[in-house]
Amino acid sequence: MEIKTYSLQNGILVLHPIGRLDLLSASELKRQLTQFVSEGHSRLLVDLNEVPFVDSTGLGALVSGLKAAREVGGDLRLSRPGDQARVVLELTTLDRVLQCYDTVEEALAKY
Amino acid sequence: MRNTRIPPLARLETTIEAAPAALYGIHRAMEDFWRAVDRLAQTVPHLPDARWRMQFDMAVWEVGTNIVRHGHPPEAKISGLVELQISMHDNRAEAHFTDHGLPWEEPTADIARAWCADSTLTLPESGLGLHIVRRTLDTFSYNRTDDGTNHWNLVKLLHVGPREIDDI
Repeated sequence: MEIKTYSLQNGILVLHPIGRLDLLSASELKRQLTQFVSEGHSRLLVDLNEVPFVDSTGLGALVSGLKAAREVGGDLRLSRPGDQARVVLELTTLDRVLQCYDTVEEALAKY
Repeated sequence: MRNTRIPPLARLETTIEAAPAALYGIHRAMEDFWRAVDRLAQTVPHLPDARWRMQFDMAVWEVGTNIVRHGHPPEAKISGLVELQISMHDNRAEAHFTDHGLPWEEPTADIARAWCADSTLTLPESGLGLHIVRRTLDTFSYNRTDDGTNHWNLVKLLHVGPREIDDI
């Protein structure tokens, strides 16, 4: 998995991972999310537009980032999840704690 | 659940190395399998839709990654192969994994209960795979035979008509 760009908008760090978020890539995303929070970026938005598949380890990485952010008063939210990501979030009921938005703009406006 | 008298509509077998880097062999096998199923469209009235296939794919992937991750951890120095058979029948899809890794012990923790934690900070970060498998399949079973072979059986029934997640 590649994380294409980082951009800071309205104090929110936006990440654009590219590729499957699964056993082979989750640890790298988890490491980066933890690092961003430790550097003071507590409001994170992970844009899933170019993530075609998320498995349980990928969800674990997102939960890890969410917990790290909330521990310091921030949050981790998602934008543009694909059909599979929406299904796996629903199945695990993680959609109740990981706020999802249809667009990056909407996420930034409502964050 | 296995029916040995009626041959499956479509069937695929593959073998991958029990290593993380080889896991995408499962993903490729599923793509090939669904292409074979799609070729039945002219003769079979009820083929699974995209959402149903997605859920079956997720379960197969989660079991496969569990076999590699927990059954063949690097420290155990177990090399080996994972065999996968996938079949489509008129009313279900089945997947059967065999491997010779460590025996699997089903976690005793109630992951569904863990999700109801009062605080986000206590949410579990692992154990989700089995939860996904149980929510997407109708039958999931595991057994280990005396020769040290692990057998994993996955069955997802095909319900004609739309089916919502809450009905699973």
